[in-house]
This record gives sequence, C-alpha cells and structure tokens, in this order.
Amino acid sequence: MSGIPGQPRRLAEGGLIDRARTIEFRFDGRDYRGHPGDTLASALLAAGVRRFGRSFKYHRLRGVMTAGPEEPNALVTLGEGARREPNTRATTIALHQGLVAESQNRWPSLDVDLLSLNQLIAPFLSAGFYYKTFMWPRAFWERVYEPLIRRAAGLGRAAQAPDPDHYEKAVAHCDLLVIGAGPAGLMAALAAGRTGARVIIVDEDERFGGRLLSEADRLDGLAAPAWVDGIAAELGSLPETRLLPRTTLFGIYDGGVHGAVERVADQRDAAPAHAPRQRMWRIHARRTILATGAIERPMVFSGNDRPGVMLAGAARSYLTRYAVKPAKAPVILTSCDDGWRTLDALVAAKTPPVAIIDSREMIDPALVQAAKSAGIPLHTGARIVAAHGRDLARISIRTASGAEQKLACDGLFVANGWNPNLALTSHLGDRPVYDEAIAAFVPGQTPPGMAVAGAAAGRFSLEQALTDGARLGIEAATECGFAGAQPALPVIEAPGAGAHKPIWQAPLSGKHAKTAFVDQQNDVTAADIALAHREGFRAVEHLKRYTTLGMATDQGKTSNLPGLAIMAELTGRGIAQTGTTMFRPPASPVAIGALAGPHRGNRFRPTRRTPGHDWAQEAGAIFVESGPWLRAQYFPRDGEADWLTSVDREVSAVRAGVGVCDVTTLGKIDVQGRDAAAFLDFVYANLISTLPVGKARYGLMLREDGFIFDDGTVARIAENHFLVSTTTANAARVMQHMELCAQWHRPDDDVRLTSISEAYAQYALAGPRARDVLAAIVDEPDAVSAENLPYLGVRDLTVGGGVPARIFRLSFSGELAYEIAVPAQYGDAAIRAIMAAGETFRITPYGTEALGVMRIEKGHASGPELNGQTTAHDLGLGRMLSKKKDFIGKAMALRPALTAPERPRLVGITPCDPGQRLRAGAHILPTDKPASAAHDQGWVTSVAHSPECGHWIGLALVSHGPERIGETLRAVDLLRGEDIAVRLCDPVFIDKEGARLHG
Amino acid sequence: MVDRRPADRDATHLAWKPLAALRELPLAMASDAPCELDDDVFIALWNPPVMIGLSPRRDAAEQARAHLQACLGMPAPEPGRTSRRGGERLVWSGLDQWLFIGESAPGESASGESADWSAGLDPDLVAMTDQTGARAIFRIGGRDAAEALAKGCFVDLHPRAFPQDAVAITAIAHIGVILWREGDGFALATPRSTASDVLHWLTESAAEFGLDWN
Repeated sequence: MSGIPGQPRRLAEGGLIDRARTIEFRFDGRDYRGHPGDTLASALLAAGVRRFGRSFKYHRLRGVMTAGPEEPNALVTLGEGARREPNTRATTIALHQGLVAESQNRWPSLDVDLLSLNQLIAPFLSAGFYYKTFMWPRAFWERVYEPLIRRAAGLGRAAQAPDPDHYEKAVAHCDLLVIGAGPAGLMAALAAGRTGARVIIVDEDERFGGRLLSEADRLDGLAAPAWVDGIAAELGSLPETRLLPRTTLFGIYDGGVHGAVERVADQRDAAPAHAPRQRMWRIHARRTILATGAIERPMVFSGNDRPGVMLAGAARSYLTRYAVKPAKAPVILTSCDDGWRTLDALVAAKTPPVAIIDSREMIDPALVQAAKSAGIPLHTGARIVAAHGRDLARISIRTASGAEQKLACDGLFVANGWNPNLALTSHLGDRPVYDEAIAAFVPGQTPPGMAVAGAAAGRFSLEQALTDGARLGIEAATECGFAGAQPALPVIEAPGAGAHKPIWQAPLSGKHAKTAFVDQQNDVTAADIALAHREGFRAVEHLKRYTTLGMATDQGKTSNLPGLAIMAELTGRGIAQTGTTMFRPPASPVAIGALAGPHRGNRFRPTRRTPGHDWAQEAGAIFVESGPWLRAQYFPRDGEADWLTSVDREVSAVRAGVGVCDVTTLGKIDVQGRDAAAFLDFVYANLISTLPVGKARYGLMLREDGFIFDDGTVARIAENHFLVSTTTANAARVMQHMELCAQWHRPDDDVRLTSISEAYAQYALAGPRARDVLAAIVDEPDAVSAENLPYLGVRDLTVGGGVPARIFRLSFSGELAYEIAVPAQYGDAAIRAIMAAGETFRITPYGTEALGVMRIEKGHASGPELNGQTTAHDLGLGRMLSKKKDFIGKAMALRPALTAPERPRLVGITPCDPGQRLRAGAHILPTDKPASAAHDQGWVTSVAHSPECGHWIGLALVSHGPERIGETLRAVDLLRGEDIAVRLCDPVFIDKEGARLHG
Repeated sequence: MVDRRPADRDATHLAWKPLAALRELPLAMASDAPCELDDDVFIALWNPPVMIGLSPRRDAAEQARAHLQACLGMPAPEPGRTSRRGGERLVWSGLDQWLFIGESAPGESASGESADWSAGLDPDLVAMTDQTGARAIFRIGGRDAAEALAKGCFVDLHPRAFPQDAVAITAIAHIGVILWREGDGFALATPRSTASDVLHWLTESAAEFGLDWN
C-alpha cells in the first residue's frame, strides 16, 4: 500500500513530515530511512519495527507505548563512542542525518536475549528483592550479588570517554515565562506578548502546538497545525517575546528561577556555527504559566507491556502527526469518550480497528452509532483480561455477559483518561490534590507567581485550554504592569472533555498479576504492589522505595497513578487519602555536561596569572596551582635530574648570593581612615597602633573562636594609612572578615578598606646580595642603604626613572631581603629589570618550593601549620596576644583549653639517621608503643630537604612539643609504609640569632 | 603611588614599559568611539591611562560627595549608577566606593604644575588607591552584546532593568566583575589576573554572533 520503500507502515499522505527529503539512520546495525519531522520512534514504526528494547529486570521485549517524553519503554542508546548517550527516549529524538542508535538491555541481540532467563528467576526479583534475597552470606553482597545484579538489571551503559561536545549556559529574564506551547501556552504567550511584556515560551518539542499537532481539531477554519504556525509567527514578530522550542524546562527553584535545557546542535542536521550541543538556561521570571498539558494513563492488565500495546493518544500522534500506522489490525480499548477519537483517526488513515472495547456499560448513543456506521464490532461493559504473543498477537476479554473471548490483533490502543502534567508544581514542595470529578491529581498550592492553564490544571478540552491561556496571560501581564485586552478566541471545531470512568482494577494474584505491569520502566507489577501492601509498605513514599515504582528516567509519568490506585483499592482508603509522591527536579534527565556548561577541564574555575607570568614562562618555570593562581613552583635547568635538584640549587643560590621570587599573589589591603590604627588593633591580635610610620610588623589575626585565622604583615604608610598583606589562600576571606568588622562590629570607625591585590605586582628579593640588586634598580640607591632602610622599614621610592615603587624590607627566607611592589602594569618590566640588574650577582629566580624550604629552615608557620585548628600558643606565638587591648578572638584564645600544654605544639624534627627522608603527614608516636591511633602524639606538618643542614628537616605539631626537645620518637607513615626514628628540635634550623636579616 | 614620570622620560628607562593586562588586542580605543551597530557583537579593549579607587570618609560622607563633585565635575553616583564627564567616568564600585576612570595620563593633567590628577582631592576626605593596572576593561557592543553577555552574567541587562547609567557588581564565569552601560554597549571591568580568562569566555560566548574584533 505504501509507496515509500522501506517504510511499509508510512501513510501515503498527511502528517507533519517532509516526504520530499529522506533521512538515513541506523538502529541496531541496520539502515533505515525516515523524513524530517519524524522522531526515531515514528521512523522505526514506519519501517515496521515493533521491538525497541528489553526491560529493566526481566528483559521482556518492549515496544513503544507513548509518543512523548513520558515514554517508559523505548529507551535507546544514542550515538557511539564518547558520544554514546544511554536511556534516550526514542519518542523524543528528532530524526537527523547519520543518527545511530542501539536497543538496550539485551545480549547478544534484541531478538535473542540470553539475559531474558531472568524471567525464569522472576520469583526472586519481586519487590524489595534487593533487601531480602541477597543478604547471606554477608560478604557476598558486595563482591558477588551486587555486581551480578547490576550487570543483569539496569538500564543502558554510560560512555566511558570524556564528553567531546561543548555546552554553554545562558541567563534570561522575563515578565512571564510560559511553559508549554500547546493551545493554552500559545494563547497565554500571545495575550501577554501583545501587551509589550517580556515573554518567554518554552516547549520540549521540535515544534510548537502540543496536542494540537496530533488531533484533527480545526481552529478558525484552519487545520490545527496551520493555526499554530500563525500564532507562532506572530509571537516571533513580537520584539519582547522569545521562543524557545526544543527546550525542556526541568526545574523550578526559589525566587522565580527556572532551569531549562535547550537542544541547540543536538539531534539536528545542520547546526548553526559555534552552536553548543546543549544550552542550559537559567530563566528568571516574575510570573509563570504552566501549560504542560496532560499525560495519558495506561491500564494495568496481564501482558500490557507487549510490543503493540500503546496509549490511544500516542496512536493518534503516530497516525495524524507522523503519518504512520502503528498497527494493521488494532483494537481500541477505552474507558472514556476521548479514546473514541482514535476511531476517527484510524478511519481517516483507512485502517479501521477490528474492535472497540469500552469498559463502560452506558455510553453516548452517538458513539454506538459511530461504531455501527463504521462497521466496527463494539463491546461495551467488557474488560481486558490479558494480551498475548511475544509481539502482541491477540487479546482475551471478558464481555459484559461474563464470557471470555479472544480477539486477534497486532495493536491495542488504550485510553484510560489523562493526568495533568503537574510535576513542576511540586518542585517547591507543594503537594498535588486529588480531584474526584476528573479522577486525577491536579495542582494544589502552586509555587509563587505560577498559574496553571488548560489540561495541566485538569481542564482537558481545547476550549478550556484556549480560554485559560488567554485569561491567565493577560492577568500575568497586568500584574507586571502592562495593559491590554484578551485576544479573541478562535472558533473551534473540537470535541469537549467527554465522559470518563477510569479503570483502576488490576489482577492482584495469580499469573496475571505477575505480568500486569504498573511501572514498565522499572518492571513493577500489580503483584509487587500487592506484596508491598502485605508487607506493610503502604504509604506512598514507602511504596515507591520498596517497589521502585515511579523511579528512573520517566519518573513515573505514566505509572504513578495506576500504582497509587491499586494501593488505594487494597487499603480501602481511596486515592485522595493515599495521596501521591512528590516530584523533584529534574523533571527530565539532564546531561551533566549541560550543568557544567563551559566550566570543565582547565576552565573549571578561573585561572589567575600574575603580571610576571609571561616572564616566568619564558624562564622555564613549572607552575603550580595555588588556589586559582598559577605560581612558579621551580625553574628547572638543563641537566637537572628532578625537582629536588632544582630546588636545592635555588635555595643555595639565595643563601649564598641573591634570588628573586614572585609574591604578587599575597593579598594586599589598603586601610585608610582616622580610626585605621584603632581598627587594626581590633582586627589583629598584636598591637598595631604603636607601629611608626615607615615601618612594617608581622601581624596575627584570630577568628572569633580564638584560633588563628591568618597572618601577614602590616605596614604604616602614613599616620592614617596602612597596608595589610594576607596569605594567598585567605586574601578574599580576610577582606570579607575585615569588611564585617568595619561594617558590623565597628560601624562608627572611620576606616576604608580597598583591595589592591590586583593593583600591584610584588617581588621578593632575598640573599646577601639583595641590596646590591635593589640599589641598581631604584632611582635613588642611597635610599635603600642599611641606614636608610633598616630591617622592617618601608619606603615609597621610584624605579625606572619615575615609576612608583614601594620597598618593604621584609624577609620570609631569613636572609637580607626586600619586597618590591610596583603598579601591576609595570610588573613585567620590574622582573625583567631585576633580572638584568642582578645578572652581575648571578641572581637566581626561585619558586614556591624554594620559598617553602627556606621558611621551614626558619621555622615560620605557613599553610600546613595555619590549618584552622591551631592557636597562637600552639605555634609559639602566644606572646603576640596583646594584653593591652581587646581584639577579635581574645576571649577564647586565652581560655585554658586553647593554651593547654598537651595540645599539639610546633617543634622541629630531624631524622636520627640523616640519610632518611621525612614525610609530611606522618604521625608522631613513641618508640615503645604500637603504631595505633591510641598512641598518636601528633603529626608532621611540613618537610623539606635543607641544603644548608645537609639532610631533611621538618616541622611537626606534637603534644607537649616544646617541652620535649631532644626526645627521640617515631614518624610513622602508614600510607607509604615508612617508620623512622626522629628527634624533636627547635623549629628554627638556621641563623637562630637572625643575624642575616639585619645584614 | 601615582605615576609621576614626565612624558619625555629618559631613553635609558624605556625598558620600563607599562603593559596592559591584555596585549593581544589593539590597545588604543577612544572611550567615546561609537559602536558599529551593524556588527552583531564587537569587543574592544579600553585601557584608560588612570583608574583610582575612591572612598569617602565615613563621618563626612556628604562633604566628601560635594568635594568630589567640585573636583571632578561630576556627581558621585548613587549605588548602582555611574556618572560621566566627557571621557571620564565615576563608577559606583561598592559600599562607599567609586572607581574613577581618568582620561589623561598622570603628568599631563590639565590642572597644571602638580602633574597629579588628584590635585585638589583631599586625602583626608577621600581615600585614594591607584587601581590603574588592577583591571582590564572590555567594551562590548553591537546588536547582540547583551545576548552574548547573558551567557555568563546573571544581571538583567534589558534597558528597562539596566538603564543608561546603570552599573552592577556581579560575577561572570566565577570572576568578580564590574559591568556598566557604556555608550551603546557595555563596559566590563575584570581583575587583571583574570583578563585572559574573561576574554576567552567572551570570545566563546560571542562566537555565534559572528564576533568582530575592533
């Protein structure tokens, strides 16, 4: 009959497909053809394919049940290799050139599946089987049972390679967001859009129209799709209205924020240049209209999962929208007038049904007449008993008279009424309520700013949808301050909502119960619900967890209500009392890549580079991440075997001559104001106000709880002007903390804080020849002489003939040292000038490793010691806590527990055998006790190889540490399996008198 | 610490060349250059010769504002707003903070002798910090500029929500930025250390609109 080769089930005319163009694709290794406008499901159905996959637990053959995102069965793996995307619904995949898909859950093939033996052990896979069957022997669970179950049950496999596509994020703001572009949504967007309000309308489908694309309704004398195109065209012409087709709204969040994913290049033949695969939208809306329509509900009977059993509305979609006959000899099974629309669609497609089974005894005489005039056998008051055949081949029914009868058919189109698609209404915690009149849950309380229109509100007729949309659209626009009249409603030719008497009964025992599927995606049967009831899991949330009803990718879109209804019948409580489970975001699966957007790999977070970065790169630096910063770690030279060799060289060069290190990343905060000194006294634990102008001091900051927060230096530039430095890691936190102190604790202080971390580049120049190099770059060499710039002095000078430079005589290395700050734009020039001036003195650039070695040699605490758990007392800085003033953390810092001698306190350690290497993280234990947590006395915080000492040295936090200098203990590193003898010592390893500093 | 070097400085010091945060793009672009409206999106660098952070004395906020108006010839803007005078800008940049964007290089100040733009500003009334090198400023213009920015900016940039003199302190691609309307487009000031990351994000975001370099 069909004129299109390879598409035996394609209708010769009609539908919203472009027969002039052909799309080639592959499914399970075979080539097929379809047309633009098809989904994968419609194209496969057109080709006569009925089997789409196998089920989750029992590996039963499954076909396609729906024509939309609620599909539980036709899940396929789309794409290959790194692009393989499992569990994709064939009913939503837009057919595109080169599409490759595979069925799931079968081995070796869909037709011959060895794992379907699971059906034989079905008795062991009933509800709760996870919790019952595999508990013994205990050790077998992890090693044997669980891996086995995971292989046999479950959905598709994820790709193993990194996602090769790119994704992006975007933010949109609007007055009104319309979710769903069916009749209600289109009218709402039109009403609001015409007022000039900013409107966004999203729809998951390739094209707007919703249910209008699948029914034979007429509006204003036009076929529904033509009317839709007219409305969409007008919406597209409104400057403040944005149309987002192919966009799935997956979540509603507080404050009018919505999450949506747009398929940009995804599943498309010709993607625009630079288009990401998907774009994640964050939509901020003042008002929202939910117009997501309704989802048809199945009936629960034996064999209701066989390929060929399909929802009636889906059958109409395939017939009307996709021009595909899903069956040659179908039967209509209905409990409502709406199911009868399928008769018209089948007649129009010239494949009239072989029978109509209406479970109601009394139906509209017009329907009876329709069946009669079409010559179709009608069974009223009849019930389905079972569907038979691997692919559906016949059904058994019980007629009104009680006789059982078999009917041959290859399609069964089931109509049992519709459920409002209301999952989004409960994302903020609102619970749907049961409406007896339509036998469905409808939105209860809705999220703030949201109104629900049309079928999503349980108002199923086209007229109601259009009316709701127009009214709510104008209301939303008015609330946002726009004015306009409601658009005129189109004249429609469409049926009303019609009568309905849903069928909830299902076989609850015997063999029929075990093949009567409630949740096809999870293989939950009517027998499983009965079992949950017997075992006491009767509350809906328990029922869900015990049976897995309503879980997985379809989130129970078709299965929830039948499941609840069966439980309600078993408990006798009624559906309203039984209630429904809640829905959480995402309402549809979202690719992790879309959530990450562009922030992956190196772009996971920003990278900060210092002004001297390019120079360091040219100098061959190896960089290390320090928070978001990239810092030079060391500068290897040709012939150096490993990093340790390079670092030893850098340290030795500094101690013997001079070295330079980029210290730009330290936080720098400018503090000005009449109360700046008093304010800093409050923020720091030690006294700052006594600092003379032109001098710097080490400063220690505590948290309110008395523990150390951060350390750094404070320089006094002028009477009311200070410059604070922080550690690299805490720069932002210290700024926040000081802002809190200024705004909240001391609002009356005149103090102004400005971060100047980015404004200056800063270099540490260290070593006995540091002054020589410095003198060579400053415009007034005399100004940096030992007399004019003593230890801890600060001076504003110029370099390079007038470039401002602030010179601090500070030392972290223990050597004669300076820090030179220049405006960031001169940072590159400064390091090149320093290197040029230092050439005579064989200046050596050094990185963070050498910096670390030298501070350990000097016993300076740094990150590993300032870990948020140490007190000033622990680090031997107890004397810094000023008794002359109040400061943040004072009350707590002086409490006995924070100054207890048994606390782990800072000491130095050396290996008893100088040839042995120390390891940071090793634990300190007595030599005569087992290496167990009970005997733990502390741990090694920092280690370094000291070229000057000639062996490894370390810092450790050890209970009673400073009282135990000289004691021999063990450093045990269980991770590396090392256990060595160490001796506790003073934490300052070199130049204990500090003579070099003052040189 | 304002750069006070004479314009014709000694040739031996030419090595001390200031470098903008980004050098891949043409440096010079007049701040008043009109946007090319036929481009969907364009990006240009704006490297003003001077940027100064200003913060008024807390107990004399009104006096400090009057002082700023008198010295800079434009009002100290309210939170969320900018002021302009010719090519100069005063951009609200936080609680009691403004960013002054100057037109003339230090040493070329019209105010004469002192060769310091801040001549006349009382440091006791207004705390000043040199921020000239602290930020890179991008100008983003063209018909789809807002659309490109929306790929990372959470602020509503619709003219009704973000009018001509609006400024926002916000985050783009996890980076703290200052974003304001500038001419027919926007100016985006980002910390210097992140300039190349922001540029990467901008070019990626604007690619679909046929990004055009100016």
